[in-house]
This record gives sequence, C-alpha cells and structure tokens, in this order.
Amino acid sequence: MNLKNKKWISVSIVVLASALLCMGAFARGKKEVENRTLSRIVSLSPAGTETLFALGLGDLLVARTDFCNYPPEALSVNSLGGFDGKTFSLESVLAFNPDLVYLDVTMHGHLTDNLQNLGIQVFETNIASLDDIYKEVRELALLFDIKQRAEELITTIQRAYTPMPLADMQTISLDTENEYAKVYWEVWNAPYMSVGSSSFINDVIREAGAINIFSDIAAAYPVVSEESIIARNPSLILLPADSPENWESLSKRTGWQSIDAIQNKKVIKIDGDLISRPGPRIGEAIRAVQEALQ
Amino acid sequence: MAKIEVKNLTAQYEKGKNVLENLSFTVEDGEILCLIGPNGGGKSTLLTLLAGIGMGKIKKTKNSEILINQKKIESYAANKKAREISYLGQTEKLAWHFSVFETVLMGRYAYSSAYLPYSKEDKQIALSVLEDLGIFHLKDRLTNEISGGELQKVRIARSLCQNTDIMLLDEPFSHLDIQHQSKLLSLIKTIAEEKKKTIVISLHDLNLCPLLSKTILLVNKTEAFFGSLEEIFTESYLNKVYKTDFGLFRHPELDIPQVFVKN
Amino acid sequence: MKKPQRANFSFYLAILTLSLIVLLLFFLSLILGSESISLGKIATAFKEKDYSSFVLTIILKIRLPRSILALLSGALLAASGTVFQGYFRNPLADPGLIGVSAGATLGAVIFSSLSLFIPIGAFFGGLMAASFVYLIAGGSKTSTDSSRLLLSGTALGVLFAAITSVLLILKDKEIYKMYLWTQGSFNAKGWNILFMVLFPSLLSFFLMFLTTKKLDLLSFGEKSAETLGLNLQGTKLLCLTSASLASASSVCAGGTIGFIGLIAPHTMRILFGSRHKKLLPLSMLFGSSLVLFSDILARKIAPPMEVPIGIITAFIGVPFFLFLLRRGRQDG
Repeated sequence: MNLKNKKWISVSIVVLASALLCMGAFARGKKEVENRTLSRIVSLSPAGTETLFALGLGDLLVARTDFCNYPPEALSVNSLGGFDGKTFSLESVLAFNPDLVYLDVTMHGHLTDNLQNLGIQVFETNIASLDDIYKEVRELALLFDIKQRAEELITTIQRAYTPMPLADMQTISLDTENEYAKVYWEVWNAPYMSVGSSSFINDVIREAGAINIFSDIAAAYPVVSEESIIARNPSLILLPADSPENWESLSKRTGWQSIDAIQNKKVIKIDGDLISRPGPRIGEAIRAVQEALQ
Repeated sequence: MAKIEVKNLTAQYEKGKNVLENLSFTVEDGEILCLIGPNGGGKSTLLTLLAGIGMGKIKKTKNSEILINQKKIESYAANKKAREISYLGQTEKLAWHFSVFETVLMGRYAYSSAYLPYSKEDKQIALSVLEDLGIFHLKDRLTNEISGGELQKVRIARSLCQNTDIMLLDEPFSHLDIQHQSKLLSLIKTIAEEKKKTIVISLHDLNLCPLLSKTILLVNKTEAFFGSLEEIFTESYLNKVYKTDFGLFRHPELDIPQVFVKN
Repeated sequence: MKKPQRANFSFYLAILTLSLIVLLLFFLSLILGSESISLGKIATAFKEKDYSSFVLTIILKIRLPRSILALLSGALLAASGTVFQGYFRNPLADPGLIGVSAGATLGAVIFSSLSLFIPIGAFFGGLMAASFVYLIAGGSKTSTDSSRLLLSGTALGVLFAAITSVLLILKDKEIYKMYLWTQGSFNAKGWNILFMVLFPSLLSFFLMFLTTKKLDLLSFGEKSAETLGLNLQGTKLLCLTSASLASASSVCAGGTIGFIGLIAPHTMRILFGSRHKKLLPLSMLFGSSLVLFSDILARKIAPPMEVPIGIITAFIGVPFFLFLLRRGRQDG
C-alpha cells in the first residue's frame, strides 16, 4: 500500500487505542460500599464530619481536614491538612490506615479509584438538594446499621425550622409577580456569582419559604449578569459571614439603589459554615434564612 | 579632504577573532571604490561598519576610526546619517509588501517628519527616481509581484531617494540574470558620474570591477590591499588572497584587465 | 491577480462601513442583554424619564459603561496586536506573546489574594512584565534584536504563569475566581473601571499612532530600516511602551481576552495591506466590533448566566482565522 494509506492507518490505530484507554479508565466505575465491619474513618468533608458525629459515629473518626471544625469534639481528632486535594496527598490519607474514606466527589473524586484499588472503601457524597442529604444519612445508616439514629437526625433537622409552602422553580424576570419573597445569595462579586438549582443552597432558600432569584439556572454556581440581579429585584440579599461586603458597600454599587433589598436594608450575613455545609445543621441554616426574611 | 577615511580599523564579532585587522584607506569625493575578496572575508562587515549600523554585534577596537566628511561616524544621529550615507545590503527579508511607489517613497524618511505624512515634494522625488530607473510602470505593483531584478531596482531607487553623497552597495548584482547585471552596472556608473556620488561597492564577480572603478580594496580578514586597479588587480595579489590560480588577460575591446581560472 | 490597488477610495469606504458596524453593535449591546427588554418598553422608559425605573437603570448604569468598555477593549487589543505584529515583523504576534498578559494575570492574582482591587494589580502586573522583558532582553544600548525580545517575552511569560500557578495552589480559594478572570469578562465592570483605564488607553492610542511610519520602515528589516534613518532604540521604546500600555489597559478592563489582538490586524492586513497608517484604525474598528459582538453573545447564549468572553472569541476567532489563511493562500 502506498504511503498515504499507511499514514491513515497508523493515525486510526493511535486514535482507536487512545479511545479504548479512555473507556477503560471510565469503565472501572463505582464499586458499591460493602457491609463490613468498618472501624477507621477518614473524613475529607467538613459536612461529612458533622454528619458522622451527629450519627454517633464520631469515635470511629481517625482523621479530618483543617476545615472540619464542628462539633468541638472534632477538634481533638488528628487533622491531615487543608481542604484542597493539592495540600495533602494520598499518602497522608493512607498514613491513618482507614478502612473508609468519606469524601466529596467534586473536591476529591480523583482519589476514589486509587483508594479503592488499595482496598479502602470510599463513601462519595455529592449533594445537590436537601433530599440528597437525607438520602446520604440513610445510606450511612444502612452501612453502620443505625437506622433509628438516622431517622432521629432527619427529624431533628426538619424540626429546626418552620415548614413553609414551597415555591415552584420558575423564571423570575422584570415582569413576573411573585408571591414568594425573592432572595439573592451572593457567592462572589467579581464576577457576580450566585447559586442555581443544582446547588443545595437553592433548596435551603426554598425550604425557608422563599425563592432563589436564579432558580431557573441549572448550574450550581453560575456567573450571573449584574443586570439580572437588578431586574429580578430581590427583597433579601444574603452574604456569607466572611464576605468583606455589607449593606453599605452594596448600596454603593451603580444601579443597585433601586433594588428592594437595598432600599429596605435587607442585606443579611449568614454563617458560611452553617449554610454551605450540607450536613446536620442545614436545618439551622434554613431557620437562619427564615429569621432573615422577617 | 577625503570623503571617507578609515584608520586602523580592527573589528571582531567575538573576542579574539578579528574579522578585519588594521585596515586603513580613503575614498575621495566622487570616487568609486571596488571591494573584492573571498566570501566571509569581511566585505559585508566593512560595509556595515561604514554605514554605521549593526553597532551591537560588531566591536571595534579603541583606535579604530571611521570618518565620514571628517566626522566620526558614531557622532552622526540616525536621520542625519541617513542623509549622508545610503546602504544597500545583500539581502532583505520583507515582512510585508507595499507597492513599489510606497517602498521607494520610504527612502525619504530621513527628510520627513517622523510623525507627519510624506510631503508632496517627497512624492515627486520618488516618482522621478522611478522614472530615472525605468520602473515607473511598476509603481502600483506590490513588491512580491515583481521579479528579482525589478526588486533590486526598486531597492536602488529607494536608496537614491535618500539623496546621499555616499552610496554603499553590498553585492548588488548577485541573484541577478546577466542582462539585468549589465543594465544595473551601467545604471550605477551613470548615477555615479551624473550625480557625483561617492560609491563603495563590493563585488562577487571580479571581472565587473575594472568596468566600474579605478580603485580597489582587496580584503580577506587580516589581509588587506588597497590601491589602484593597475596595482592590485594582478595575478600575484589575487592568487595570494583568493588562494587560486588566476590568469589575467587584457580585454581586446575595452582595454581592461580580466581574470580567468587556469585550472 | 486578486490584490487590488489600494485606492484611498476603498480605505475610506472601509472606515465608514466599520464605523457604522461598531455603532450598530454598540446600540445592540445596549438593547440586548441577559434580561429581555422589548424595544417598546425601552422607548416608553426613555419617554417617561423615570431614572429610577429598572429599565433605565439597567440600560444606563449597567449596559452603557459595559458597552463602552467592550468597545474600548476591542480597540486596545487590536491596536496593540497591530503594533506588536509590526514591530516583531511577525503576523502571528499577539499581545500575549511578550508576556504582558501573563504578567497581568500574576498581578491580578497577587492583588486578589491580598484583597486589593484586582484591575489595578492587572494593570501594573502587565506593565511590570513588559518592563522586565525590555530590561532583560534589550537593556543594552546597542541591542535591538527583536527575536531576542520575542524569545525573552515568551520565556518570561511562562515563568509568570508558573509563579501564578504556585500562588493559586497555596491560596486555593483564589483558583476559581482567577480561572474565570483569565477567561475574560465584562461582568461587574462599570464606570469606575472605565474611568481608571480611560486615560492610559487614550495615551496608548496616541502613542501607537506615532509608530505607524516607523513600523512601515521596519518591514524592510532592522538593518535596512536603520540605514534609512530609523532610530532603532527610540522605535523600540515607543512601540513596546505604547503597545504594552494598551495591552495592560485592556486586561484591566476585561481580563485576558485572546485572539482579538491576533485576528483583527491580521485580517485587515490581508484585506487592505500593511500601511500602518491605515491598518491601525481599521484594526481598531474591527477589534471593537468583534469584542462588542462577543460580549452580546456572552450575555445572550444562556441568560442570565454569562459565558466568559474569552471562550467566545476563541470560538469565533479560530475558524474565522483559518478561513482567512486558506483564502490568503489561494490568492498567493
């Protein structure tokens, strides 16, 4: 065969080989967490740490991250470093000889395969809604055979706030009338970032009886247009407690003076640990939002 | 006083290796000097130094002196220098292509304000130079649309626009067909005579030398011989420097010396 | 043979057409946005002159400064690309090539992690990078070799990017913020940014227009340009300073937006030739059009989310550019 054909064939082989390699990597898939006697847990998720303690499994925790700061008992557990996968290594995890690692898929999903290959079980959390929290609590219950404690925890969470009628997810624009209070949660302001329907914070707001002005966006943490914030006219603006912004700095933003929340000085800060951890205290977060709405 | 004076010129690209050594010669006003010698012998380097450019790469020793109009070449500001000396390098890589007219017009840069457009007078001069060189009909063509010979004429036209007393030409005939060579040769002779220009021209083809000038500088790195055509254009000097076996004969019609290779 | 005479007629026509396009896109940028507001509503709002109404607030306070910034940014990018391409005699030169963008990003990250105003960090980071390159590659009085500058710029750019990465690893909270910033966006950019960049931008335009004759001369190569009377040192200073100033200003205004600095001058050069006196304004107008258009798309693709503008310029820019290259080759 001539040179041109040879070239095409070799290219095709390379492409095919790479494709097979990639497929092989993905095909490994998720191994089910087995029902074994688990006694040493490493938690890489602050929310997970709180959940474990709330379920009475705190004794099994052998290591946590620097950010796992609640409950107070957690502080006496060894820490293996920061939150980001780049500040600690697989080795640091292994040094604690766990048989279960609790991690957030979006932050540390890349460690799962490695851990499983070493015979360590991995509990992956990926929470996009309030229901996901309850689902995971129940999964943990199955794993550790603590069904009653799990249901108690769920009830505690639900009792922490006043049940309210829930808003439909809908597009809010300049023209829509809305019987629900409109809330804007500002993650960041350069560029403007808020929460969408696949973030559980969206659920927190909804459960509190209000509606997230960006509930029509599917993404979890979208960059949003400033004019949309203004046009959708939230009556309450929530900021994380560690944000440098406050009502005064927001009121100075060009064009924001016409927003109801600014005019009525309804710019409230909420403890970040409370609201951005999909864990046992989420009920308190919902209550905090309800109080802010008053 | 001489138009160009070179005294004790020693130059090098890197320490220790002299490209030119203790070179001294003068060129009188209105004279044509032919620069010959083997490739790599320093002809281009010398012309570059005479033009006062490439100062960064070539280093001269302290007692080297190049005087133009009795002034040190280093003392000339860029645009003043461009009004005294024009230089045509061997090759030029054109990044973009302008029209022939625009290209030639840029020869007037040294006379024009750096920020204002070229004047009407500048444009007139450019057009008349194009006519003189017989390439007026090419004025709107782009420089990548003309032949090598025509492009060379364009470059010469550009240099002429600089209206300098001194012209330095580095092998202007290489890459040209024979018919273009002879045309260009007579062109340069005419320009030199009519406009009384001082010309230093380096040549690859030895036999063109006697057609052009009566003064020769034969140079090959550290060897240099300066003198009249009769003195230097001889078998002994040429064979010594070129390390070949040349023979010389007298051209029957033109009565000038010509070389041929014996072996 | 395709290349036409570059008659003044076609130049002025092009300027007029491009200006009209820019005006049209500017107008569209005001009436189109994440929130769909009908023309009727806009007209009514202007008639009633209720400046506290949402419509007028959005149009005058959010969209207006943003559109001006987009227009300005496009012109800055295109102009600096023109000057860099002309100075380096390289049609592939881009403001990013000399390390200005990488330096601006580093400056932005440093300022961001210190909770200082990011755009100022970007601006000075860009200028610092340019000065570094100038000092390292071309400090000596006699050295003007542009290829050395280019290589140094590229190398330093890589270094700055590496330092930036290290900083981001140490301060991991900054990562996502900076990731978005490097994609470029006019989100949250208003009058204060505009006032900040206005003076340096106008200054840079003025200086860049002064380079046009010199850039033409440089096309013959540094040696020939010098013999024609060009002061190489002065030219280098003028070209690099003005283009770096423009580049740093544009990064300050909209983050790092790629391709405009490469495509705008290159396209105009293929269509209208390389006389920089004409090329510069043509590129600027074209650059403004591209950025305005991209910003409109950024807001209209998935409202109310905003797509980073750098992604859009890449998607538009690359195929457009490849198309042009093919076309150029067919003629040649």
